Amino acid sequence: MMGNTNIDNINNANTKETQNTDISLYNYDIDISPDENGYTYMNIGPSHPATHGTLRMKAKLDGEKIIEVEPEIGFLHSGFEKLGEHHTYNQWIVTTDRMNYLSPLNNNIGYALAVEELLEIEVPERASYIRVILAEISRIADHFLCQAFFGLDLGAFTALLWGFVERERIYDIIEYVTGTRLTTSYTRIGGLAMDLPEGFEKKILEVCDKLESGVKEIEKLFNKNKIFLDRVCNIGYLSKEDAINFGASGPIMRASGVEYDIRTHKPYAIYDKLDFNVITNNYCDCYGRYLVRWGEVRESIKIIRQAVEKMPKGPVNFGNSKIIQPDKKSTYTDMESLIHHFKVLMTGPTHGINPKKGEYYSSTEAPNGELGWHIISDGEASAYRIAVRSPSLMHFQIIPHIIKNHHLSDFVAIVGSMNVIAGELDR
Amino acid sequence: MMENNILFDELKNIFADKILNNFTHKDLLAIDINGKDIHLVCEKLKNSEIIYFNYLTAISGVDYLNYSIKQKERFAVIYIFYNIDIKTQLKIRAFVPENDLHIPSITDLFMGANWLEREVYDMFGVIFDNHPDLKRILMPDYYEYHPLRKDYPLKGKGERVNFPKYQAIEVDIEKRK
Repeated sequence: MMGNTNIDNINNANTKETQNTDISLYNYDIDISPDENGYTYMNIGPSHPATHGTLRMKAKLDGEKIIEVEPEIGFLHSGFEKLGEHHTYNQWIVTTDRMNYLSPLNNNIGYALAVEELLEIEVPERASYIRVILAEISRIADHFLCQAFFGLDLGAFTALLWGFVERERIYDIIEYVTGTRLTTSYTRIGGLAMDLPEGFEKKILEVCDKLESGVKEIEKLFNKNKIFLDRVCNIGYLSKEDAINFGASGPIMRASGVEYDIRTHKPYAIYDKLDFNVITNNYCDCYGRYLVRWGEVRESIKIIRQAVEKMPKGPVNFGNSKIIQPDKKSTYTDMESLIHHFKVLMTGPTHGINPKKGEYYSSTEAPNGELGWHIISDGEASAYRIAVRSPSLMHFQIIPHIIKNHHLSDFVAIVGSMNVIAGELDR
Repeated sequence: MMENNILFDELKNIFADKILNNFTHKDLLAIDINGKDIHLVCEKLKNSEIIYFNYLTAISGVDYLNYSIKQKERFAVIYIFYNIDIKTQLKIRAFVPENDLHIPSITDLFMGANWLEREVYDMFGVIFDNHPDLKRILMPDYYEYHPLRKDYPLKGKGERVNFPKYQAIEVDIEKRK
């Protein structure tokens, strides 16, 4: 680790902590010529057009070659886990949208599943099918954005625009179902906020056809392009043993040859009834991760088509009124339904969802990797502790390890292929 | 996927005297140990032949101050391990007493534990011995408190009003080098 170097001195040297004075502009007189070993220190700061979010990296360079990088995070820390101890279980769903803001439906579904496993209940089959369809479509959206920005960072602006055209189609579907594009908050503990609207099946099958052709168009730009291959092959090599040791997951792990996918290892929500492959390859570099993501998009389209065909009709919410509210129409005639409509939302010792005392860890396969939730319950309406296992935090640790002896232009490719999202990293 | 009772028998064979307690919820087996033994336990788990837990999933901390069931100590660090080949998960709770907040670090066995332990230090104040670079990760460096403890209020202690104020002064570049 770099520890006490010139970069840290730049932070502390020009300043002196005083009381009751105005904040003046920093007046740097930084000497950026190389020091006695020939190394320069550069700050790739939190606001930068090529990093995905607020990430800061302090780089030690020898000309254009990178010797060492020390990252610094925490610019987007909002205290989500502390809020989880004061909100009720249903109120905290809103903060899960804001973690991985490219695919918010995956976070909602993962959290709702974690609390339902703590309560030891199972939602009806129709709700599971709807959750799977929405999880897969938002996984496709995340991968399109990751690949589009990967192309943009390397200089190919067209890939960004074509990727976003496909993403707009997905946004239309999500808005049709949930009402919003970004902060969906669609699931509830014990089911969903509302059932699917009419005509959804037809729309999503049309969109799937168009997405398939969209993938082919962007692949035609990149897969056999000599400039792209020169910039991306053999860059950021992460061996199989290192991937397991670092705790990587998702496309990064699968591009290093380890077949670890939670949808097949610990199937949740009817994934065991569907037929799909887990895409792995042995390249271990940025090109392998790029190929794995496109393969996953094709498998997701396959899953959506199967699920739409097999989806049954029926209720969408779990039947017990103590956990999820009954149908609104029954409150006009039935006294108990009206009482439960209040009791589920109120806080207090006997109101709300009160799981038994216990703790449980559950995880789902997010587009970035394994998104896990460790929830401790004390028998009250709000959780005692919610700890989030975010895949971006484990992946961002890997970057100083694999970036040694690469050039500054490869740095952009490596950070782009890791798909680090600041909301999930800092929580 | 190994059954919980078979897994527990294997664990007892490896280190019987370290386990204080165990409980299961659904299909996840959890063991309680003292914080000082965690490095030994992880090393034996990683090198065991039948149940080689070589994948570290998560590390998080808990403050059991207001919990209704009295636990052994106030703080606990929770480790979750996984075995990819036999698809089994294991949870270990390592208790740390409040007057001696030290626990050995497992960074030499699992490189992914580096930033996770820094986060537990930042949020709870638990110090990890032999960690290569233990400093705050999410909060700023000059921060004094540990936010996720139960006696720290949700709205903070007035930091939003009293940001430290800086003033630029002249600096001699030769002296700084």
